[in-house]
Amino acid sequence: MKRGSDHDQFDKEPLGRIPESLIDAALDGEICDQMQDEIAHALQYDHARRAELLETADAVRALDLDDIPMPDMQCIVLNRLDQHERFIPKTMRRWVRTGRLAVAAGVLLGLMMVAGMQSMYPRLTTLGVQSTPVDDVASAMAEDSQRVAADMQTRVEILRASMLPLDGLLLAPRPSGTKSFSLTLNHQVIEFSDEDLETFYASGLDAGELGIGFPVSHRPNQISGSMTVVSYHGRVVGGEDCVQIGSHSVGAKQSGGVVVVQSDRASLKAPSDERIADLP
Amino acid sequence: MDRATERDLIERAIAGERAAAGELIKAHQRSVYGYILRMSGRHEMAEDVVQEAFVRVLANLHRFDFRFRFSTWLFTIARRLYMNAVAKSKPAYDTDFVGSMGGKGSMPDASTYNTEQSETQKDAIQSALMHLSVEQREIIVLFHQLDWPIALIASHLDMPEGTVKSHLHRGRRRLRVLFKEHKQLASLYQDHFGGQFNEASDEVLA
Repeated sequence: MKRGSDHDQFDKEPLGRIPESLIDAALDGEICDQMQDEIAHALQYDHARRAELLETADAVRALDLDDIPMPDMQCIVLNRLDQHERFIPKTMRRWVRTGRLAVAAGVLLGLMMVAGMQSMYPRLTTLGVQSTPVDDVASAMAEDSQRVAADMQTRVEILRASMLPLDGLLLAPRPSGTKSFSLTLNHQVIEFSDEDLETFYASGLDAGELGIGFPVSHRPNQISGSMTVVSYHGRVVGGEDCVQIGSHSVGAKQSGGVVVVQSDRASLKAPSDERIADLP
Repeated sequence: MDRATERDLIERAIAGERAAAGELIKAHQRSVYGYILRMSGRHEMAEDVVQEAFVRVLANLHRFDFRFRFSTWLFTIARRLYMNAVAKSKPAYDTDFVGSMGGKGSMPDASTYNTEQSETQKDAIQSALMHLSVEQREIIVLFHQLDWPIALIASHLDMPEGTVKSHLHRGRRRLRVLFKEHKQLASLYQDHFGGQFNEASDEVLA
C-alpha cells in the first residue's frame, strides 16, 4: 500500500539514526532541556541527521523579514480612517452616541403615543374602513334629515326671491279684443280677424278637404301658435271662393306655396301669380 | 508588547487618540505585513491587505474583546481579506520584493558578495515557500517567522493541534529540501546570468 506520509517514510530509520519525529519535537520546542542535550550529543554521531537539521535551521533563518523593506503604513491607514470619518474623537463620539439615543428615544416615544391613542380613540388611529354602530346611524340620519330640510328651505326662499319681479306680470289682466291675422300672398297682404278665421273654418271645411291633418276647430289656435305651416291650392270649396289650406311642418317648401304662421301673422308664398289670382 | 500596554493603547485609540492608533499600527504592521507577504509572495497584495485590515480593525476598535489578543484579531481579519483577494483573482507570485540585483560590471567585493548571497537566500526561501501547500506555508510562517505557539495557530486556523503539527512537520521537511534546491538554482543562475533568480529563471535554466 502506498503511503505518501513523510512521517511514515522518516519513521523507517535505520538503526543508529535519530528518529526524525524526535527532531521535529525538538524543533517544536516540546522536549525538555535534558532531552535536548541528549539529542545534541547524539547528533555528533548521526551526520546525515545533523546535516538535515542544519539545512532546516538555515531555511528557518531565511524566513526572517528583518532585511525586507516594507512601507510605513501608519500615516496611510490613519489618513484613510480620517477620510472615511470612522475615527471619531471621544468628544464627538459622545455627541454622536447622544444623538443616536435621542433619535431612538423619540421614535420609541412616538410609537408609545400612537399605541396610547389607539387604545383611547380606536377610530382616530385606524386607517381601514370601520363598521358603524346602529345607534350612530340613527342619530346620523336625524342630523342628515334636519340638514336636508334646512337646505330645501333655503333653496325655496332663493327661488321666491327670484320670482318677485314677475309677480306684477303674472297678476296683470290678459289682453282681450279682436286679434287680426294677415296672410301675405305674393306680396299681397290679406287680413284675417279672429272672427274671419272662425267663420272661415266653420264654413264646412273639413280636414280632408283642406288637407289638414287635424280638426278644423283647432285651426285658430294652431294658426295663432307659432309653428303651424299651411299651404294653399286656390280651390273653390262648397261653391264659394275660399282658400284651401294644407298643413305642413315648419320650414317645408311646398310647390303649391306655403304659409308660415308666426305669432299672430301668417305669410303665404305662392309659386305663381295665377294661383294667387284664384284667391278671393 | 505586553497586554497591559496593548490594552492602554487600545483604550486610548478608542477614545480618539490618533497617536495611540499609530502606535498600534507601528507595533503590528511588520508582523502582519510579513505574514501576508510570505503567503502571497507579492508586495502589492501584502500592502493592500494589511492597510485594509488596519482600517477595519481601527474603525471597529470599540468592539474589541479584551479577553483576546489584538494581534490575533488583526491577523484573523488580514487572513480573511487575503483569502478573499485570492478568491477574487488567482494570485501570481514573484520574488521581486527583494529588490533588483546588479550582477554585471566589476567583480564584487566581500560585502557585495555577502549581500548577494543574502538576497539569493531570500529569493530561494520565498520560492520554496510558494511550492508548499497553503496550509503548510501558513503554519510554517506563523510558527517559525512569527513565533506563534501551536495552540494559537490551531485556534487561528480552526483546526486540531495534531493537524497543525502534521502540516508543520511535513512542510518543514519539504521546505528544507526545496530551499536547498532553490538556493543552489539561484546561485547557479546568478553565477551564469548575473541577475535575479525567480520563477521565470526556472524556465531559463530548464
